[in-house]
Amino acid sequence: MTTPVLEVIGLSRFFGGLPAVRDISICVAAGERRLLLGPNGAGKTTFFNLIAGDFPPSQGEIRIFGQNVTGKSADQRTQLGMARTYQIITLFPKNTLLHNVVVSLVGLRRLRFDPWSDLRRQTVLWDEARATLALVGLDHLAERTVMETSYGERRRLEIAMALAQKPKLLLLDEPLAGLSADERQDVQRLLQSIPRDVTIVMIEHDMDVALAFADVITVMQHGQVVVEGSRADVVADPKTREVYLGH
Amino acid sequence: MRAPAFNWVMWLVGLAVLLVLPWLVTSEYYVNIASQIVIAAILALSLNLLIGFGGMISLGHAAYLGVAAYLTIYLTAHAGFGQLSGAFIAISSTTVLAMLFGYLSLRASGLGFLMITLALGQILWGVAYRWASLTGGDNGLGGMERPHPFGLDLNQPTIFYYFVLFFLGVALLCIARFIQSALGQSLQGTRDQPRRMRTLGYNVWLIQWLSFVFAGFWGAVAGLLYAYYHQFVSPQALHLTTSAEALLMVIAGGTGTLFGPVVGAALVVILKNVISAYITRWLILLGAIFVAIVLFMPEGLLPGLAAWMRLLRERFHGGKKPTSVSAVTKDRVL
Amino acid sequence: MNFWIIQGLNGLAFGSLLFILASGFSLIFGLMRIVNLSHGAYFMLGAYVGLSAIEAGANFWVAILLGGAAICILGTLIERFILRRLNGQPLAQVLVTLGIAFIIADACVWIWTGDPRRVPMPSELTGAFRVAHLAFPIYRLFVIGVAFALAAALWFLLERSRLGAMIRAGVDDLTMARAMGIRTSLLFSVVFCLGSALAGAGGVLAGPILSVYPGLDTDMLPLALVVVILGGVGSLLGAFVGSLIIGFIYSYGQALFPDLAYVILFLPMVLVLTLRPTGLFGRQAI
Repeated sequence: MTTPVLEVIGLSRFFGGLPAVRDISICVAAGERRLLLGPNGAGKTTFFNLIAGDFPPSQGEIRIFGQNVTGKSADQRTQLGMARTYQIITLFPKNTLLHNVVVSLVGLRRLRFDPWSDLRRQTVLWDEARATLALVGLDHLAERTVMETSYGERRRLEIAMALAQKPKLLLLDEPLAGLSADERQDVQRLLQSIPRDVTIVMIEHDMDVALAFADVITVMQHGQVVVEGSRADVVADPKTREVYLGH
Repeated sequence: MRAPAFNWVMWLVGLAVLLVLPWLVTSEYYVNIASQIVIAAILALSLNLLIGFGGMISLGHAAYLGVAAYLTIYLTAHAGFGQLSGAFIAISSTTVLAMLFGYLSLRASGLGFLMITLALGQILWGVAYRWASLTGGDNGLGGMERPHPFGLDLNQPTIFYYFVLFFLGVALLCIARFIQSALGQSLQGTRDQPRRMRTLGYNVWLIQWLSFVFAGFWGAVAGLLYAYYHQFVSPQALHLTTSAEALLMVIAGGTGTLFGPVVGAALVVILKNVISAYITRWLILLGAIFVAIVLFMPEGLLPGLAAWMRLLRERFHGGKKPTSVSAVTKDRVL
Repeated sequence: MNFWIIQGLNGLAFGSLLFILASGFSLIFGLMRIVNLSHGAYFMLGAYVGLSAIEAGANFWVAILLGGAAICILGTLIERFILRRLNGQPLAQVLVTLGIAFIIADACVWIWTGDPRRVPMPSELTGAFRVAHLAFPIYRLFVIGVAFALAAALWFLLERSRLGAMIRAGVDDLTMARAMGIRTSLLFSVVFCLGSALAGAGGVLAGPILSVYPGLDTDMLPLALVVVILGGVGSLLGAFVGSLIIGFIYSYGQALFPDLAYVILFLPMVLVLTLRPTGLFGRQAI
């Protein structure tokens, strides 16, 4: 039994008196495509942020690649091989797409502490950035600034920046949100092309895409796991319908 | 990413002016003003590392100028150290102080950071002012002789000017390289999107702290030169008003550019030393100019002027419809 | 023993003056997120205005009112015509208040010259209060009384009045307060006016004890900052306790370690920053 890529044990997070996440334990195996489902306010994004390291949990433990990362900061977890995208796009608007990807690439290299060498001369990096943009079909816009791109293009850039880090664990926070039908197809194809040595945990509301994509689905409500299993299990389970009743 | 040709012309013209200044200018008095501008420019450049490129507004930067000046004068003129060893100890000790103050200041960000830097600066002023046995108190510390590096007579205003100009050149070079380096770009990234930078694997605190120390180092260099120029230091060098003047220099000149602080330094020094002879209430003028810049030209004088010049150039060369000022200022470093 | 009591009362008196200054600063910062770097200048200008009023024949109490009113008007104008234009840019607002501080400070030198001036005490409050073997200036006791009364009045305002409820809502969550229909721009003007008035009146009150001189503004402003950092953002209790702590340290420090007195004023701030960044009573980190 290989070590799970992501293991969460008894995780809870309270904001003041409010329990946003309550005693969650899940196990994500290597190469798995895990989907987090649940209505608004179920605690999915808080849970995500806990795994990513944005803030510490009130209780519980998080293990990534078998290591206890509960006390580690977000940047330390990224150094271990994790990457994430955001629901709200947080790119560098005045910089070019290429520049954004280069920032992503530098983040994992010792180069990031170099105070002298001109970054623009690191041609290897810029070439790799261009190749990464090509992966998501954005290389024709490489020299445009982010301000000048469309929302769908920015979403793809987000994913490009995450992929640039060659992560082993990829957290995707609503990668399809706000995209047109064509854009969705592009992103869907992109996600499906990601090799299986990358484990993906995703929050997504678009049922068609998500259900087709996922191996294991975790359904959350009120900060707790309500149903967990394969697509078929979840669809059949009466609790799932209860969660979504009224939606 | 390639800088347009026009900028290189501006560089060369500026460089040429700086180099031949002592011949352009009539009296020694103005050469001395130029030296003061150069020293202030180094201080402003160091502060802009924090403000413009790091997004961290500090109101305590005079600390590094003042401490380095006090240490230099104390060690060299009062404690029997040689010029070189005095300078070395002064700068390294001040840099260590920057490490400590950086740690304390970075316990907060934004407005909290500003308040802490202000308070820390005032602590040092308090020490200088009250601990008279060590610092001379309100009377300050004097008796400083200018050094004779390689036999140069720094008591000659023109020679002193080139001496400090050399340091400005080195500072500009180091800071320009820093801005374009991976660490400098990371700093700018943390200014724009700290959360994103963390997710990308950057240790934001460390980047900010290192930059703080780097800025403190160059502030110390300015302090050393300050000690050489004035041959005297008083608690005023550590006072909030000195930090505020440095801040004014940076904001007035423009935080988004490399040379902006140099322009700002010139503005403040000229107001303080030249205009003050004609207008006693030059501080009111300085304050009013500052308020006006913040309200109406928030990017500062240099970007504002540069944008207008580019606009004029476009109109002159292209005959095409002039673009707006804001479109022209996008993505500028110099 | 006498020494400790007298110094303690001195500390209480200085802390009281500091509270009058810091309470306004804290209100403005807590609600509007503006670090009003002109606040020290307001204090100084208020003192000068009061001084001129007394020299023109007004009695002390009128002078306090005039000092407070003058700064209130000035503050309201600045808030309405300058700070409001920079809404949403807190750092620009800070910078503007810095520029204004320069202007006010130099204008004071222009109008009242650079000599330190003592503000005469009201005749009703001169002399000392004697009990056992101790004598303590009545005026300082008065100032302590004013601070406690002010603290009570502000507490009452914040906790029991509708205006106070709006202020507290705004301090907690400005967007929410706006969404609930609170007219935040009007609230801002009111709070800024109140804070400025407190600074101005405080300057006059401090006059007989601290005198008025160029540099009073930069002497007092950092202390107001320290009080807010120490006491915590948005907490009136924090401002009160913080002011008294600083007052005591100042007083005992002056007497025991005159060389380092100014420095140790900042030590609690350094401690708080390292150990408890939210301050003694604050709810958010600074």
